Amino acid sequence: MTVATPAATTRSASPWWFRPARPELLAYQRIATGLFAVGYLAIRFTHITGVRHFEADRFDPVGPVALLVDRPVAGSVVVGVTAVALASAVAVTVGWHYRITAPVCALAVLWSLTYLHSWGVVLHTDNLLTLHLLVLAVVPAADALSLDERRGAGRWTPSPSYRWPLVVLGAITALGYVVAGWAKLRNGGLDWVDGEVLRAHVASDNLRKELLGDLVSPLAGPLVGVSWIWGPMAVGALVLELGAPLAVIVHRWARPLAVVAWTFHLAVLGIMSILFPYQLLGVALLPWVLAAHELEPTPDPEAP
Amino acid sequence: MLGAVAALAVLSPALRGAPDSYPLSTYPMFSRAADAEVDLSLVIGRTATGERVELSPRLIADTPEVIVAGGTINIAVRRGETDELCERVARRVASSERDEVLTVEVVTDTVDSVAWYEGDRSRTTELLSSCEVLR
Repeated sequence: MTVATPAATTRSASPWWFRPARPELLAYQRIATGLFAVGYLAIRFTHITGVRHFEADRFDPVGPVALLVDRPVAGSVVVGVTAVALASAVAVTVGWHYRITAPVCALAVLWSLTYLHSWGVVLHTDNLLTLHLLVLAVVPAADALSLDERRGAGRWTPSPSYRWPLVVLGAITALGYVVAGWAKLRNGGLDWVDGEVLRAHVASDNLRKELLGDLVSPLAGPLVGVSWIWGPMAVGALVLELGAPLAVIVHRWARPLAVVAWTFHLAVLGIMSILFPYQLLGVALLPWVLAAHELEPTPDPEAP
Repeated sequence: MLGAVAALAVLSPALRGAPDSYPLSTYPMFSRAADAEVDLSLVIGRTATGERVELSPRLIADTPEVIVAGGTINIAVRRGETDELCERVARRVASSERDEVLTVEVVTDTVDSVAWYEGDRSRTTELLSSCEVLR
């Protein structure tokens, strides 16, 4: 358990990342991420564990799974680890024996979702959930609003230990956008900026879904026919992705950029039928807002 | 310290030019230079009259996820294992209620995707593998 430092109620000379924060701020993020993990794992349990029925020759391990195994594991292991992930996510959400359940949850989710993505298709819709759980597992996110707190772990005072983890979580979110933006410039070059690459991607992605019998965006067809909108959309996406770190550098920009990023994911859903649930529910963007919360100095009631 | 490690970890795939992975990704989706003309590998069914019919992801790859089914097809095409995929799908079709499907084909359609959404629904189809549904 991290020892909290005495409250600081006036503006500090240290960077805002390290100013004291109430333990509740970090707890809000734990609860939001935990609740999302519970819902996500419960809803997708059958899908996540369904890979145990796949033919072994489709196994194409990635990430930590590739480091540990080179062939599929027993189906009972797949179901067991996913069940542990779900149960421990409940414990994380309510803050029960957090020092044990949080690392267990992070590692079980890491294994389960990496194993899910080890069958030839690496999706990018739940990376942040896994990364955020890994960070939350090693920070004091259950010092408030938790069963551990009720068990008498003591009352905690504002501390930098409750703000900088939010900055780290926010940085992970932001840097993910940067990597995505950099990939567009590196792989697509400046052609990506004029919008034709984006237009072709949207058209081909929707066509692929249509021919495979998937849900197709009703907006895709009409919009693909309007050539002039794709340039501004491509530039807008790149500016957001490459500029995302400003949300954790300039605290006043955190909320506006969170709104812009959320709108971006809403547009992706509307135009491409690609759902980023962790982002669209705001959980991935919440660290930006929480990290920048309550930074203004508290007025001294005895001041003249 | 934790912040530096986390930041380096997230950036490392891009800095190293590593292939895509999980949970640390290069986020390559929609980044590559793309042409409107695309090759789409598919598994389809044929009826007695030769009519082309769609097969569900469940029949193609035993999954409800379209993207996983698409990935399964792409891997088979890349590995030159379309015959095996075709026969596997045919076995699933045989034990399904899709009685109208007599033949399964693995094909690659070439389509101008922008023109497709502008009303031109033409495509060229290359047959990669074909197999009968044995009931």
